[in-house]
Amino acid sequence: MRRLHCEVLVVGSGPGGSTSAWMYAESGKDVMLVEEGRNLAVNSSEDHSLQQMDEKWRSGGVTAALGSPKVTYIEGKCVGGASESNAGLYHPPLSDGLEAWARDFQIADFGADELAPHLAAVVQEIGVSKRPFAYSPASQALACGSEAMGWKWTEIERFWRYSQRDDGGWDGHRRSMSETLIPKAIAAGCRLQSDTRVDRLLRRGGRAVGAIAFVRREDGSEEKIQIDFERVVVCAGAVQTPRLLRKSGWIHNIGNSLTMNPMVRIVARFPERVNVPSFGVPVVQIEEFKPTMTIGCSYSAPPHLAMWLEGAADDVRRKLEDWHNLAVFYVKVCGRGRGSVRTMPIFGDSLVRYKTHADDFAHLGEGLFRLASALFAAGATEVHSPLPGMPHLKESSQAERLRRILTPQNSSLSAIHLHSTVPMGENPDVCAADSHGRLFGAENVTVNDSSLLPTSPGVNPQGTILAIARRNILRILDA
Amino acid sequence: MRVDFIVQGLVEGLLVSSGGEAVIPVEQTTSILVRKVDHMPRFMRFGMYVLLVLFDLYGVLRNGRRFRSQSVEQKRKRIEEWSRSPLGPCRDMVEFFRKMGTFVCWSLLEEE
Repeated sequence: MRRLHCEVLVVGSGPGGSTSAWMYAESGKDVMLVEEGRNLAVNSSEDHSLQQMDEKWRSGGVTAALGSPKVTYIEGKCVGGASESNAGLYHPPLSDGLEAWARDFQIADFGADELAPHLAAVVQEIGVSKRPFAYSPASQALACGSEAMGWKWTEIERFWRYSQRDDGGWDGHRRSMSETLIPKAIAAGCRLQSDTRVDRLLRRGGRAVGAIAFVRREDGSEEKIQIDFERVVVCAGAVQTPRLLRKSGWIHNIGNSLTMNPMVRIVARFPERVNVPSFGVPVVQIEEFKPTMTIGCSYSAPPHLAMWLEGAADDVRRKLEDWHNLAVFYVKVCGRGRGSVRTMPIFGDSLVRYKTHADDFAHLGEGLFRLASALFAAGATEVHSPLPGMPHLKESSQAERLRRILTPQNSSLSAIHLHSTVPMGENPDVCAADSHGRLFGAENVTVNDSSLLPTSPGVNPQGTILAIARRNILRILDA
Repeated sequence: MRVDFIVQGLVEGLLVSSGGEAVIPVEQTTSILVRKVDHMPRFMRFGMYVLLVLFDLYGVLRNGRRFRSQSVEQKRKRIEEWSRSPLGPCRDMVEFFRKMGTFVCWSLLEEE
């Protein structure tokens, strides 16, 4: 068996892993960044396309948390992780939420003030910007509806860079990890090992001393290797991180407290064009009800519209004749449910279970009512029901129906942000890692990804994950 | 185990309009859906295969022929029955093929 050596092994190359690899490499450590997925250019496939699902998402984008109802979710699986294909929305963490985490989970030296310099540093390093030109029509519709209802709305900044062409048009570039921190880490000496799945960590007493991994060859076969290290940073995401740790023998409070933000989508029709391709997801969100619920615009290319409109081909084709007048919107709630991550016996897959809280159904229903009300106020002529076979809404007074429309039996929920499977803090009853991500019961194992967030942050979490990752590595390097 | 014919039946039952004119890429959609099933986590793939086989045999119980061999109209009825089933996995199976099939089909049509 081939053996590789490094001082610091970083497992997973999403935002947490890339930050960790970059910072350790800059400090002069011999770092190896291992990623299970392929090393692809950020623009190797069109956003939200079939090809992107196959190339960059685990299991081709078909993963689900079991429960009643099941919740479909997606996990990035490529160099750069989810940052290669997500909307790249940047939302600073809410200070109340940070204070609650510090209090309830006893996280030391933690709060909005402590995290601020780290947020500023990652924003500076990666680049965050607002659109330098007009919002897309779908965003304008949501903003207009929100104002008509008297609700606050905002434009969400993105990890994105815009540049103006000579002809006056604009180009946009996602500031993913493969475009930003990973090249910096490599320039500082980090070795990137893609197509390599870490199967388990080898333990000697309270230390991890190596990792058994499998390298996927071009012909599809796998080579088993061993990677020896001084320290390991596990950043494989809220599902794969607990799975790897549990398989390696660490189980205390690991994989027991999964949180997510369940969401539902609806399609609305307007009398004018609202659907104009414009650098992915429209950026306006209704701010009024955060963190309990977030209301925003979704990706609305014709295949996505078709999926939410449903029906036989002629029916969908008829509905799509004026697809420029249709757009998809979503309601996402800060989930109060809890789930778990285990390894499925015999099959060896991750078994993710999630119990959606009754309050979440109520909040989703209330969110749908509010969203439909805002869309009608913005001039929508029709709002499609989120449930197949239900009549569509033609006027604002019918929006009330959406309040109690969702039940565990009929709901089709999805989630894109999963967290909290290795919660951090000093509270031994609920935490699995200390205030800086160091795993309890292990001398040299750190977790540094969304698994650490004690609960759902209620806003897009990428900025929070990056800032916490930077904070943790700096603290460990100082020590 | 081959499930292509069952998946193709689902695509026909869910996406082909009755008496409609829209031409949809049934075979390509089927082939991509089968690939999607094969890329699922192993336990989900196993469960999906079991459900597909049971669904095929359910056709025998209802009108003496396996689902794959029924007319498009009959296929629609079988799908409708499963989409209203009290059993969550039956509803989930139909929902998966309805949503993913629609997405795949319209992605292919857009490419054209």
